[in-house]
Amino acid sequence: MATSVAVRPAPGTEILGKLRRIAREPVLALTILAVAGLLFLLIVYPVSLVALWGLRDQAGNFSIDNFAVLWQRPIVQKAIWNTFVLVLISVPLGTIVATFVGYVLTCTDVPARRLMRILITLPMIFPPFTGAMGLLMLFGRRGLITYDILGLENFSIYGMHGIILLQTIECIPLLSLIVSGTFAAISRDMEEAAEDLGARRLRVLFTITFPLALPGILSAALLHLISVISDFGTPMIVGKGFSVLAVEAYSQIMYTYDLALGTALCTALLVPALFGFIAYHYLLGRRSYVTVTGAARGPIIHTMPWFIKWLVFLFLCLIVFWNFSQLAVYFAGAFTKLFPRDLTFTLDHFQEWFRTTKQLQNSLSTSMAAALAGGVLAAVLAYLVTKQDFPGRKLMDYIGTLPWGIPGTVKGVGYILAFNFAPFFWTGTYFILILVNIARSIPLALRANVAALQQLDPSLDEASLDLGASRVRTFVQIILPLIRSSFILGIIYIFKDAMTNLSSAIMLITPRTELVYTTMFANMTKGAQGDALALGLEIFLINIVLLLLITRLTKRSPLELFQI
Amino acid sequence: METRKASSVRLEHLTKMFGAITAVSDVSFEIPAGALVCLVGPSGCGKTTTLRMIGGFEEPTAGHIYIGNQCVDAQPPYDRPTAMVFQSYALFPHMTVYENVSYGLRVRHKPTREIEECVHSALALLELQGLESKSPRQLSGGQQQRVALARALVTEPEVLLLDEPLSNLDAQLRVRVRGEIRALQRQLGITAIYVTHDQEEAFSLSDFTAIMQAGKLIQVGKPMDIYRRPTNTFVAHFVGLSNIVHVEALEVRAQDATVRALDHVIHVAVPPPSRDGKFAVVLRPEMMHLCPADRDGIAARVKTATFLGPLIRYVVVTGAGLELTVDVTNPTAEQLFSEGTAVAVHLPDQVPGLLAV
Ligand SMILES: Nc1ncnc2c1ncn2[C@@H]1O[C@H](COP(=O)(O)OP(=O)(O)OP(=O)(O)O)[C@@H](O)[C@H]1O
Ligand SMILES: [Mg+2]
Repeated sequence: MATSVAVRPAPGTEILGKLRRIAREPVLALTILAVAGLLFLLIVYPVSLVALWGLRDQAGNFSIDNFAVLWQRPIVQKAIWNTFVLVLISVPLGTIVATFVGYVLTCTDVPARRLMRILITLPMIFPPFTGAMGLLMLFGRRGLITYDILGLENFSIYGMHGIILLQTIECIPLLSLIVSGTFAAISRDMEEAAEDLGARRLRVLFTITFPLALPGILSAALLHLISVISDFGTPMIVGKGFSVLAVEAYSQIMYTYDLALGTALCTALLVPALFGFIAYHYLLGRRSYVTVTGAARGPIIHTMPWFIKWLVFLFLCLIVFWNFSQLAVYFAGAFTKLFPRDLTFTLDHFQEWFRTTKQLQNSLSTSMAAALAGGVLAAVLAYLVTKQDFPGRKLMDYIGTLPWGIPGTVKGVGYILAFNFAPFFWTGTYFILILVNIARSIPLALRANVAALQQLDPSLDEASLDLGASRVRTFVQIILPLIRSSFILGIIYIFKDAMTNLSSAIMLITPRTELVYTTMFANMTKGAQGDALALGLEIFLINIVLLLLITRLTKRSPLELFQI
Repeated sequence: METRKASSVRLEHLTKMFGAITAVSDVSFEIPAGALVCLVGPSGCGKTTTLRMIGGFEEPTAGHIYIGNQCVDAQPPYDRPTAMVFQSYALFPHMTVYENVSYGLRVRHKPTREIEECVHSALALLELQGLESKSPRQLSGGQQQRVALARALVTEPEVLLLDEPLSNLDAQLRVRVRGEIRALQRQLGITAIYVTHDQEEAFSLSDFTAIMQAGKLIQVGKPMDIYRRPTNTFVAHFVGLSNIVHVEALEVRAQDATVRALDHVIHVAVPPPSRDGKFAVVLRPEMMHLCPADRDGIAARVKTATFLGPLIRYVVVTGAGLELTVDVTNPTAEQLFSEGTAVAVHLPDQVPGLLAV
């Protein structure tokens, strides 16, 4: 290494230098400003309004007292307490189960490992609310199993236990995939070295394997934490009286129009979710253990005693069986009059498809617009934060990923606060739906593009500029074609996400701008079960078409669509 | 740390198949207690696989492994008296140097006092004092290597297994550390098996060198014996620049032989390896001399002359069109033959052995 003793310029002059360089390129400077402006408008402004509103009294003056008073309302305390208990049970439970599943699928000789891995992850492409609808039809008050078969009168699936059951089962596919990846990245040398030094299998597992996988397991837990806190749909459907923050904030604003109380609840929702997000980032930023040494050959595949092996297999089968029985019930519900009361075959529910063409149009057009605009924004932002150096670069990257940590309900409330007043007056328009969809899904697209850009040789970009191509030309003709598949992936991410946006869209729609997904949800809550299922299948169909499209366009595995 | 108990290692017809690939094929040899054996061979020839079978990480498809006369086939890695130094070092990144080195003792439930003593003497032996509480990634490559070695040695293994332990170090450090490993192995009197694909490293380190090719053990012996008497052309080329010249047997006796190579009569100190009469001699470049064309010798013409510092390497072409590489050591400007010059090649009158071809 050449050790030239460079004199480090003072930080101030360094920043000035960067600024001067950017200022020499007006197109670049303007792009940075525009992207920064958009991020502010779409993400920072609405979210900070939520927090600010919580700090405002009737007269519009800032006051913390007011906030404190609101927090003493029983309704707030109950919602906070319930959410807290839910997190305390659901997060560890889901993480443990998913870690176990991820571990046995990666590091043991459980039978039919490949097939099991596919079957376990498949629910990620199931129709929306498969778990919740299936649960109600099988175990609800008039459920097939609880009422018809077992004849239970007093059993109720509604409440906290129902929510926990659903959240735990539904987190398994994604979380076990993440954890699997961590286990698979552990170098076999580490485990063998420990074994060589005399440690037995279990000892290796607890002193080497798990500690090495811990960062991955923790980040999976934090993702789960965010989704449990933000979950709106599940508690809305199977909560029934078990009030959580996400639902309570929605009701306060939509039914009692109490913005002050709503925003206070939102703040309580925002703080832990943001905490989870920041912790997640911190974990990812720290140098990961698993990449310390060279060629990793993956973990040792442990052989289990036969009875444990089959016990584990049985457990996995149980999960798979559960998921697929829910799916079967879902189809049964869509094609019968009223499952399980009236099992007459009928296609009547699919008339809902024709009654909701307007909603479908709305959904498709707002999602498409969000996907295209958001896809381009994500690609440009990714390019700026990976290939350019300017003050605030890291912050921009961070803000682009921030919506992950913001519960949908908070985004919805934020958008009402931000765009319902002068100079915007955008509530009730398609425009606001498009904006919220961009804000909601930009992180996924951003990360996909950043990952692709980081693998690009920096000299490609520089060679093009060196040959006299402008920044714009370089971006369009060199960068975009090279990251084409993640660019498309990003667009499809956003589209898919936008089609199934419930928590924030539900606050921003008007009768004119209703969407398929919100209509499906409304059907579910008013008991029009068959109609809801038919609409769910419509969304399912669209998803399948998307999957086929993505494999054709990007030649990547469709499963990537669901990975973070 | 004082001299350890050392054990001999015996491999009997060891074979390993990965599906249809035969990674190791019928390898048998015995390593005397306290010896350092280098396993060398080109990439993919089965060195690592052999080592991993001895360590217990791969189950042999056939054959047996004995350590100190005890068959260890049924023993899992943690019960074998072996310790491995991995190519990647495999230091546990979530533990400090001290925790890494003490790991093997802790899993054996040794008393804390004893652990402390052992670890400290191991760290002292490898000159790692003061680094106890560092994390592995704060160490230099050479230090990491020594921690890996300390971690392996502290469990008092009877056999030390090293898989290309120096390949992550730069050239200078490599030479230094390999000297250290050799000194340490001698000092502890431990049996060691050392995998490398660097022939020079193998020769400079080992008591015995074992050469493998395509899963087979081709030759085992003291480095000098292998260099002087390679059993086939592969070994001859692998262990150094060789001119392989076909010979005609003139006289074959029980103890030695006389052969003719390039019209030159050569005496061979050992009998030929087979009776079918097709032999070659290995003429190392340093065994031959070049003289001006008017002297005795085989007429040839200089094709290239390369100055390498301590020697000049000539490639000459004989009248019959055979290319020979000849090194002239200690060159002086007057003795230089420029390219195209006619010269006489002086062959040795005696060679150590014959190759069957
Ligand atoms: N786990 C495995 N599964 C299948 N084939 C393997 C496995 N391990 C090794 N092989 C094959 O066995 C042969 C010998 O491999 P081995 O790692 O022993 O070679 P090596 O001599 O150590 O080579 P190198 O010098 O490159 O480290 C190779 O052809 C390799 O591809
Ligand atoms: Mg190897």
